[in-house]
Amino acid sequence: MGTVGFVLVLIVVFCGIFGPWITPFDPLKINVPDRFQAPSFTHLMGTDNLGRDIFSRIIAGSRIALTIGISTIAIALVLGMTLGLAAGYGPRWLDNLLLLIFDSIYSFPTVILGLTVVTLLGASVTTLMLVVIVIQTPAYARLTRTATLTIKNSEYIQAIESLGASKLRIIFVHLLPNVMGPLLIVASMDIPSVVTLEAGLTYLGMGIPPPAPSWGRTLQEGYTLIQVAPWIVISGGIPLIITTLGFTFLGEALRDLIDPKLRRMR
Amino acid sequence: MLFYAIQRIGLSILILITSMVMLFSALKFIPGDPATIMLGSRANPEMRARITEELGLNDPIVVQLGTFFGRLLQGNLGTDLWSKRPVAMMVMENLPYTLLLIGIGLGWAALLGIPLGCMSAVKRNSFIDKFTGVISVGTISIPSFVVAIYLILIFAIALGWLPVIGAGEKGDWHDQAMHLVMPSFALGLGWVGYLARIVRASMLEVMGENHIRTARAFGLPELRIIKDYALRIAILPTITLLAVAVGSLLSSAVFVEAIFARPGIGKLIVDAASMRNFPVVQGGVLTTVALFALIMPIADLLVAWLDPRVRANL
Amino acid sequence: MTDLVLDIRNLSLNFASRGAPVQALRNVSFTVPHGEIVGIVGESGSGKSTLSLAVMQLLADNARIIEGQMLFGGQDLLKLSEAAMRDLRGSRIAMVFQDPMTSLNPVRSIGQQMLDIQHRDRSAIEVKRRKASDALTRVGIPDAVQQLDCYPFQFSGGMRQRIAIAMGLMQRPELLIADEVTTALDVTLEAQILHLLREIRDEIGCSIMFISHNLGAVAEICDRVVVLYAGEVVEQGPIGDIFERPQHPYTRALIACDPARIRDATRELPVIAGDVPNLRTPPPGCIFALRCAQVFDRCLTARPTDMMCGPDHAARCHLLAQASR
Repeated sequence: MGTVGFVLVLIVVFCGIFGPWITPFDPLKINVPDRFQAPSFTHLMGTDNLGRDIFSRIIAGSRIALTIGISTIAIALVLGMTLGLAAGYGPRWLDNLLLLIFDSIYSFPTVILGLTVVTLLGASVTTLMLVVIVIQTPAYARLTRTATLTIKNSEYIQAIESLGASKLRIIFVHLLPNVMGPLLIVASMDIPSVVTLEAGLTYLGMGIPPPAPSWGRTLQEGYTLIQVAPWIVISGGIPLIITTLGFTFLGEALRDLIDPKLRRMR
Repeated sequence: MLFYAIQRIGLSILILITSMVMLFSALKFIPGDPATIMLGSRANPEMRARITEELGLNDPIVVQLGTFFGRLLQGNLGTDLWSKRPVAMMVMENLPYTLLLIGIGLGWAALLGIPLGCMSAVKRNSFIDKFTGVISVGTISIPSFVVAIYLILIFAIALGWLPVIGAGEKGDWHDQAMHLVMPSFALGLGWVGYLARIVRASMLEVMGENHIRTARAFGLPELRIIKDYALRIAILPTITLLAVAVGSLLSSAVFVEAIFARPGIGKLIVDAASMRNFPVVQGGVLTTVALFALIMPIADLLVAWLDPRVRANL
Repeated sequence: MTDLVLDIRNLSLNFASRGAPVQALRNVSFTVPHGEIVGIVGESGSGKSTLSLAVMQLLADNARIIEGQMLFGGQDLLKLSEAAMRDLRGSRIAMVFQDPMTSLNPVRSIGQQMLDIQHRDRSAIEVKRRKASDALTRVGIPDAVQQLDCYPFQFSGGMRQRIAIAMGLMQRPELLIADEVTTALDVTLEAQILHLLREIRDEIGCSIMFISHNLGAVAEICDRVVVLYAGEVVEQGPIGDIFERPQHPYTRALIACDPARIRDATRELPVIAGDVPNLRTPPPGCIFALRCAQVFDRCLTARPTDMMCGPDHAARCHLLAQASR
């Protein structure tokens, strides 16, 4: 299962990086005479109502999905770790306050939080990224906080402190390495949900504005034409499935590898 | 037990209040004039002045907060900017549809997930176990709206078996049921995997325990052991998971309701959001948050009540 | 021959594993006569629990019976179908496990569990409850009727073990297997439980297979003793013979190591040097050879066979063969 995931992820990343060079057609080029073509050898996934080649749009979409996915998660990771460390190491009231805020963010169903922010700020790439960051940060912060709390009171930390190690040193040399592993695995499993969120919000018209070839856009346009040109919608779903399955399989395999407890349960 | 209940619900209410304050202050802290944001670029100075006056946007923060909570306690969620209808009423009209959808969706997830998880645990490492494992990950990953669209392609367009749009004729149970099939299935499918996995894990843990061996040593039939001994215990973490599922399903319901053009909170919020109709969005969001915030402690209390060990220790 | 409740002949059992299979039991033969308490003694890893689970046919999936017969009332348990075996469990053969904390279902009340055991019985619930409370009273649980609705965690360790015994004897089995039932209890409780077991045997007339690593407990109530080492029966016989005239070096060492036997003040406790052999690759000769104080050449190359050293007393040792020449 892990190998399948790895291969799928590789495909997506490949498309993301080399997108502009491998698209057979310009994803944005409108070519009305060619519209509504069913899949063929020239147009592997057919064309849409404006004659744009769907296959190219899909490949271009991978770049959008991955960029947003990875950058937002990276930012959320950094932010989360900082906040988690603050919560764990800082004064009690800060911990309680942060926890309260995190739990409150949790109690918002994801998409609904996204919609709220979009209502306030309007649909754009920045809004989308902001939404993802707000949603993801609490999870990472919590993980970091737990790790911090566990280690903070452990004996070997007390021993090191008595030898004169500064708090900063403890954080960077001892805490972070311990937390990075599980955090990264959780983060990699979050990539598909972020990509899905982006696609979903764009589908509803609240995400990335047109004409950017986000996969959500393809789905949205395709849905209205579902009876006439079903291939659009089918093609729009495929990359999402590949991405989500790929990252999840990979993440699961990684987690099984690293967590011996889970391995024993198999 | 009672004290524990009060504690849990109290905490949830605190979180709920914090969420509402955050929601409220979000409007204040964003750049730009709230009135313009709400009305969009079509606003002209008159409309802006009127909105500002109506919503008391110029009053000191504390007063606004106070009015906000005051109104909430009275059940007043504000008024729709355009139609002037009370938001509370709009929410009440739509909420039952969403609740029904989520309920049936969870039903699908439980119907498929729990037996699969159970069988995987009982027949460890068999074909069914591995198959369930892959299916679980698969269903967890694939987004619900993609599932929904593909379902529509297959069952509505290609086969013509099920209707797509809306919730069906009022009063016609059969029609409404038909309209529920695809949306609820698309919604619930994603959680089949989670449920199967947690049932499997809990069952494996329980089945390995000594008291199961004792039950076998007394000749109890295997089916009885699974049902009354193993499953009873394994179901406890499942209940907690189901509560979490509600939150996730509330999110997915937004997409499903949009795709199937079903009435519901999700659709209400989406439509309002696209029109920047903040009061309606706010009202809808508050309702969903409250719903979720209350489901969690209820699930925890249910688990505590079902497990005599926890009950005795409270 | 007075009827034998259990007659185990040449039982050999392996556990399949990634490498070579673990030969957990090799050529085990002994009998449990009607109405007698037979003690199975051995250190950890000797195969005591495997033996008891084997009788109940409750071993793990990777257990493989290589050869042998287990005759219970004339029927070979190894040849029974699972359904037939299940019929016996809890009715004619009952088992009490070592750790009462984990062997009782934590979320079902005692009464519910005792009613579950009577699942073959078609009588009314009141009748079943009566039977359950009677059994509880019999093992010394006060206020039995009220206690039926309590949960295991509400009882102390000693009470839980009594409850487990009550569950075992409720259906008046012919054979009760008590697997290390006193190991988790302190000395006073242990004495009470032992006393209880003997009373039950006297009342119901069942046979008891009493498994323990505690020689003292075995000496207290058993009629016969079977000494198990690394999966083999190295000696078996009436209790008097075993304790007063032990023939096998291992039995002798065990008895000598019993702290109760120490006469003079000493800084060191007597031990049996060495470790239990690796059961994936058992040695070619006697299983105890490498730890035996009286080992000689033959012990390392040839497997000893059972030699009689008394009317009902047998040991598996080359020394006996030598002595009889």
